[in-house]
Amino acid sequence: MSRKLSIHLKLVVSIAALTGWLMACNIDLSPPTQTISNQIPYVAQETGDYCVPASIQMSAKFYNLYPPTQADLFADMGGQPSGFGPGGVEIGQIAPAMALYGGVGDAVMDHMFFTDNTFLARQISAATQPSPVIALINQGYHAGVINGGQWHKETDPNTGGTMYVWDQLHFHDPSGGPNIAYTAAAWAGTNCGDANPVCYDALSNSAAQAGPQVMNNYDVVMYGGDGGIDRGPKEY
Amino acid sequence: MKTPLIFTAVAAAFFATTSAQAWNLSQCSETGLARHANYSNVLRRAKPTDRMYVPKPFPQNDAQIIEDFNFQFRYLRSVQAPEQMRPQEKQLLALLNGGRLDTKVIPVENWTGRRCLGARDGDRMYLLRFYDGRTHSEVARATLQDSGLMDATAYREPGVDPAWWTIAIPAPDDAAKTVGALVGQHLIDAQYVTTYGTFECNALLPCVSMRSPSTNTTYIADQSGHVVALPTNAKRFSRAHDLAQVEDIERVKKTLAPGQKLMSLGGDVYAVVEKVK
Repeated sequence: MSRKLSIHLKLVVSIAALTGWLMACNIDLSPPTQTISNQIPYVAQETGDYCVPASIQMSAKFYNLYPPTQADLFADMGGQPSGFGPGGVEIGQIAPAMALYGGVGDAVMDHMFFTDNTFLARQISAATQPSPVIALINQGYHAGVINGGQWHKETDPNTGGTMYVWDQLHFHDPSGGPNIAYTAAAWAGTNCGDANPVCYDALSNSAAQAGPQVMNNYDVVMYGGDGGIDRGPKEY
Repeated sequence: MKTPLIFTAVAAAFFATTSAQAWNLSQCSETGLARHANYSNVLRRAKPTDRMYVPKPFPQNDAQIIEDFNFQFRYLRSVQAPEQMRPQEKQLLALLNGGRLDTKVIPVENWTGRRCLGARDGDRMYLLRFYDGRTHSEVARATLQDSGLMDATAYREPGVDPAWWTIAIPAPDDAAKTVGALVGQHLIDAQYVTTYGTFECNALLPCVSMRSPSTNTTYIADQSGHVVALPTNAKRFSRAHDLAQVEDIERVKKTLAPGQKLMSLGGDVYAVVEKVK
């Protein structure tokens, strides 16, 4: 064996051994801080009733699809001006339209009370795939699309282990503008938390299920929360 | 760091917060008040390393409000690598650190369904409007809870429609004169409000509420020219009992006549308002 080949072999073996050790010890190789932008194109709603059609269009454009007009989407969903659900569209129409026109074939309407602390885990799991999430906000009267967020790692003062601080979330609000930044605790009040028990979002079922199992052991807290009332969902 | 402090002080002195006549139309429950009080105590005792720390809990003036925002904004940027910041975040940070950020504070009464329900949600919010001190253009807006904790931040970005920075936010008294002329009444006690419902007022672009003493009617005007009326005897709903889930909202909305909308008054109360314009 030549000297050059020997060096290469040692290097490969060392890397393999190091990787094996890291995997066996479950060492966290993720970066200390991360900002996620899903690059979902922003679409403004054309009338006061069209927050859901605009959200469907954002989802479709993320997948480079050409969605129907907001008026056509609204009509297709049986929407009525000043109608019955978020922006005049009944809640049951959102996921099927997201599947048909928004490029999310397995879209479902997820709905849990805040007492089920896996709701936000599923939401962020889908958003970080990335896959569009149409979230209902303001106690169910408005909707938009999550476009990413920001988190960082700290040492948990209680356990000495790694603690993940969910800093903020970026929300495409069809009537307010792109990338509205909510601190994590503020998002819980806006979408799903103690100030907003009306927790709904439409998202990919498979993407929603992909994350929590992997992140099961993560220790997550919300920025802007007190670590008790606003402690983040353990599963995320 | 003298320059930013000077700018902050100047901005605070120039844009004095006037909030002596704030009012609302619903009361918080004892449970809600106790929950908020407990949360407030935790906030007041928080240390700088805590995730809900603000340097001036429940700020009393514009300078303290701005100090609370600046602390939280700087913290959120400090845990990011520079290359991970969005361009708009970088711009705001540069203006802040360079002492070129002028900030205007507007008190907005919290009539959303979060008031009384969420521990961190109080009677009032603050809208902060950020201007580039050299160009005088508005570059961002943010909302804070009355506790000083950050809520939402919106940045001026290309392609935003409607471009909120081009939409004027008239002084409350000016809005009262305009709406008063429309309805033929003398309107008083005008103030900014944020609401939920099918008549929604985003705190980043707040509505103005005002009262007509002669007809016992409250009027609410948004920044798109819509006006609704809320008579004293308007039908009211409990969020917890009548509007707990979206299916309930759908059921209630089916009972509304054309021109009627649902609007939160804060606490547990939603009311039916009538379209005026």
